[in-house]
Amino acid sequence: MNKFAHLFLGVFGLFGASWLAFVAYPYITFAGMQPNKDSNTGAVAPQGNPGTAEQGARVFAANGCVYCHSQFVRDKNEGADIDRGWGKRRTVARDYMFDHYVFLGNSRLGADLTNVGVRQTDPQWFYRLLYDPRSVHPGSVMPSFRYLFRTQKISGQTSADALKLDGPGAPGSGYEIVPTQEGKAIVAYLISLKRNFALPEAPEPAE
Amino acid sequence: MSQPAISETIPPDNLSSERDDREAIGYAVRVPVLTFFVSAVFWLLVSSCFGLLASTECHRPGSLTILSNLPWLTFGRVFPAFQNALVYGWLSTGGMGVAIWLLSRLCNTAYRTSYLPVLSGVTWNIGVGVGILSILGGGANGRALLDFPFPAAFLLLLAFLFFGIWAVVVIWNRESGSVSVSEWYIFAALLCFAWSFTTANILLNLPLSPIGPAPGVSQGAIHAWYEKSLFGLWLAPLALAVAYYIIPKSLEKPIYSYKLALLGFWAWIGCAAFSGMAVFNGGPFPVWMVTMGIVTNVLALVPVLAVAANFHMTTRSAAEPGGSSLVFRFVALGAMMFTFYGFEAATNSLRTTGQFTQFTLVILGQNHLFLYGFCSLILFGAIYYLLPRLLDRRIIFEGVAEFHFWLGLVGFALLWFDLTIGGLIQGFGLQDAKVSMDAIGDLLKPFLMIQSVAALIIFAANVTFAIAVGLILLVPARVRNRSDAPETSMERTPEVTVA
Repeated sequence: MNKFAHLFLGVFGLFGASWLAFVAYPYITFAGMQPNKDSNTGAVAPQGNPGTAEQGARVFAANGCVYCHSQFVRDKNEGADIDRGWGKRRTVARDYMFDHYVFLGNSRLGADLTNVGVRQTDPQWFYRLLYDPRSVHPGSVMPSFRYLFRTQKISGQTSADALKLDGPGAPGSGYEIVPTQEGKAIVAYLISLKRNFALPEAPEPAE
Repeated sequence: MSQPAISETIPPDNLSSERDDREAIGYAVRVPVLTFFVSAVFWLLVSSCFGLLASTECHRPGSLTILSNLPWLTFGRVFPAFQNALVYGWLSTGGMGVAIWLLSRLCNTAYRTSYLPVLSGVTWNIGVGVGILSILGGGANGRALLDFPFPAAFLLLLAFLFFGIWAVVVIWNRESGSVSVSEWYIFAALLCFAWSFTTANILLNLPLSPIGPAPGVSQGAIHAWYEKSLFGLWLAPLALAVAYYIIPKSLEKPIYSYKLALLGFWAWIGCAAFSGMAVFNGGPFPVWMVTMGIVTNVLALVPVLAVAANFHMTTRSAAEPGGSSLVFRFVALGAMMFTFYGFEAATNSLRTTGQFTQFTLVILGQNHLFLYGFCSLILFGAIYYLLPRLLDRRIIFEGVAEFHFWLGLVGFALLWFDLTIGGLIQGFGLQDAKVSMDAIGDLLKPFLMIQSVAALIIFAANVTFAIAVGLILLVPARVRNRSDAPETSMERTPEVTVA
């Protein structure tokens, strides 16, 4: 047993040190984070997210979006993220301080989504993308998420968020395709992704 | 049938009383080990079905319109189902099965009650099943290899608790004497997995936890730390424990250098524990966290080379025979893949070279090199080695296993080269803002198609493996004449031991 005691202490010590460095340290540091208050304008950033966005984050998780889409922007000398227009500055810890679900991701089969809510603000664009990705990006390998939509009979007026489709994909006359609650939530989440406020620790790089 | 080379690597032994003793240990753990092995093979098949489906969806996204109406078969659920079935279903379950056998064998305890590991195996499998179904049902939490929602993770923890109690009792009652390198690795694996899995699930996964979810980007740090622990300090030590047992055993040689094994062990634990954050190069973390990940990934070449040199020298010093057996080939090739993995992980984490592989299919290829090339090959070898011995049978229809070896190798090589070349093209594209994302997608199309071909070959190889296992289990080719039978238990172990 004595030999196992040494073994135990050795592994415990090494792994414990890594636990302190990569679990305890970031937990304590990032828990104590404060939003930035601009000394000139008094604006506070970041701000929390609305409730629907929070629900949408869960839909984002459940459907594995993170396996193709990342959510962090690297500095100019570390990658072409800023040149691609995925953000004006690198992202830092404070950008995520209010997020209950942080999806940094490490695959970019699709575009980075750190600031997708800055690039696209129209829910219709997202609905079309989710319903039929290849109608927006012809060569895309993104799956289409038709199960986030349902076809229903138009009662009176056409619903405000009904999909504007034409061609063979359009529903029959008298019918419309509308997003489900989950579909609305994930689009609200995507539109909420805006990490474009100024932070002193991440200045925008010069052109 | 051809000569049963697999089982004839060990010469008959004269120490019959000791042999009976050890056989008794083997039989006492037969039911639990079989429970783990059979379910592991089942999950391997499940995972390769999902892998094939995920790959097909990726290369023909538009043609499977039926799938776009079925939420449980969308790529974003099938892909994690594949990964989790592979890691928790196949590699962990199989690895635990081998660990039961190795611990009983090496600790040489008289501990015979084996219902605890059986209970563990059953609970573990229910946990994996619940987890996979939850992922398909939309319960995943979007963190790679932590996708299982808490109820499933809790079942896994419970199963692991049973397993851990059993292991501690076995080690406690161990005959005094030398501790082999395999035992060191298994012991470290058990400790690190229990620790990291509990931590990660409480901080990231437990609903309504007073201390979770972890604040902001600490989620990313904890997740990266967990993933690396899962790979480097759970799966890798289990596989290395097998290699340190089977390679000297097949060659009838003691391991070349004990000191080198010692260096390899401690240096690997020290490096792997700190190297997770390298995946977040340029990420929203203090720079030292990522730098530490990169430095330890490079430093890990020391243990990787120590392990490689040790196996190489052991193999070289062996006069022969055994070196050509199928089991040895699986395990030795798996061990070589560990070396390749070490070099690839170091290259991909360096800031200069890593920026072209970060976010690309190269990383997926690197993970497959680890999960399939290294861990799975060794586990295949271990199962081919142990099953006939546990059941006191010869391996029959060796051609099936031989076919499995070559088919798996071809499929894996195709997959790795495809993902690496395609990933590099993707990486150079991503680094050039003038190349649009759509253009990169077009460039990747043929590689995604070849990925599906490779997935199909690997699927076929896995089915062949299941058939080979089924043949050993179901065809009662009992060895009639015990005197010229291959050894069913392994004695005269030339293991590396602590003096």
